[in-house]
Amino acid sequence: MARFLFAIIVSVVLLGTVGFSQYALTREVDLRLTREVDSHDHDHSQSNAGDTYTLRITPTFDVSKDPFALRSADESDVARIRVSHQGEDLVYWTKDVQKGKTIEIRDVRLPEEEVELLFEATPDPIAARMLCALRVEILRDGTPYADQTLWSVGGGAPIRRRVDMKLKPALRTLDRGLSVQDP
Amino acid sequence: MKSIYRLFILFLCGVPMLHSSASAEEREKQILVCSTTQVADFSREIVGDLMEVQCILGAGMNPHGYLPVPGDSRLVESADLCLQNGLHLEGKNWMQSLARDNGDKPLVSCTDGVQPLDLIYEGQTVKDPHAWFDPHNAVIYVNNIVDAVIGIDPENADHYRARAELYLQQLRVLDAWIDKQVSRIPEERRILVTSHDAFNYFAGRYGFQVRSPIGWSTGSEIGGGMTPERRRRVVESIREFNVPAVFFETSVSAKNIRQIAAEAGVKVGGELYSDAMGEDGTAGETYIGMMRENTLTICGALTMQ
Repeated sequence: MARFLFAIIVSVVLLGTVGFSQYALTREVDLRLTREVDSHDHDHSQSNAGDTYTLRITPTFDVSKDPFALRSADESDVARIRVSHQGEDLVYWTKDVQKGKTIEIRDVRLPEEEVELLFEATPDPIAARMLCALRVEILRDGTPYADQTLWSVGGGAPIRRRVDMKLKPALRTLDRGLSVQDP
Repeated sequence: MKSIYRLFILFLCGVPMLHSSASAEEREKQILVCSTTQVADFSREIVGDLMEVQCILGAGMNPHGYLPVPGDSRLVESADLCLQNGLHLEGKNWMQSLARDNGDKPLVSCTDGVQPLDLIYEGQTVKDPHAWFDPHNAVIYVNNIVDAVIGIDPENADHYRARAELYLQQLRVLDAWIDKQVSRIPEERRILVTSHDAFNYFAGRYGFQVRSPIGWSTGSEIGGGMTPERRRRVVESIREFNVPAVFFETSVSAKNIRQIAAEAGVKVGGELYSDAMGEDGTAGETYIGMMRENTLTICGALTMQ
């Protein structure tokens, strides 16, 4: 009899723990969802365009103006680092960057689909003779989402590499049995 | 019968009109007149078939001592824009005089914006005009020409920029390629003995030392021509650094450098394109071609055991 009661108590405790943890998890998602909807209340069309990401770019070389670039009307406007998506600039960095220094660009909006980002950076002429790398980190909600190192081909060439990514929808949009209320 | 006669009259009227529209189209092409072959080559790369590019100097001709002929005046008179190297490469500023005396034509110096190298001869400083030997300076030439042609034909600005962008990528590849080839030459052997002092920009870019019996110019300007002192120093340098080969140039007489080679007991490594590019159909007929051939000649001779 005591064994039977003990087995029942253990089962109740286990089931209760699982049930509570499920509840806690769904409650958290629910709260986040509510917050997100609130923040985009005034601009619903923008929330459909995709999520915002943070790009962190760290070069292993001093990034400077491309010595083989066509002269621009305003030389201070020439990009040192450029990230583009379908021909549109997401990042257009016009200041020199020292090697090892990370630049962080917040609130980069990317569509929730397969995206192809083109990263371009120009090492200074001496560094460009050797292989150079650009570390690219993409964060969503402060959490690393993708991390890649892009290598140059050496021989004076700038880095010009494409990164393909399949951006999965954020947790909040997964169907977890919750009804999403349109504002 | 009357209608056939009318058609015939119309045909007769149409023929001269067709002819005049064709010649108007031809005349619509603006004319660029360039002083040197390098400047003309850069210009052709940028304007393509949209403009006509003419050059006063021919292959292998020496810009330092050139004396303009009446045909040059006629050429400049027809020009919409004149382009020169500048930094007194054109001895006694002959291109400037031609542009001024033949309709005061607009003249652009392609070396504007180049950081010139200072050459010191007998205590006097001279700006080295042979800036094109560093591909980074060639970028400045190209940019100056792009700005100038857009100035006279703004409608086709995108066309000129697109062509220039492609050409600048070729210059990037050229620069990296020269760098790689030159790295095969041991550092202590990177001494370039040439007919005249034209290779300082090349030397600075790719880590050579230069020795020449003739100064920056073959003419009589300050620092130009050959002096017994310069000649003696060159022979001494060849012996001191055990230089394996010396080079003569397409635009300067080979006589002096052959005598020096014989005196110092070294080989002649070959002929380099210096102040002018090569004839049409030769490997040196373009800027990229002449730089490539020079590099191959230099590397071949200086790496030989």
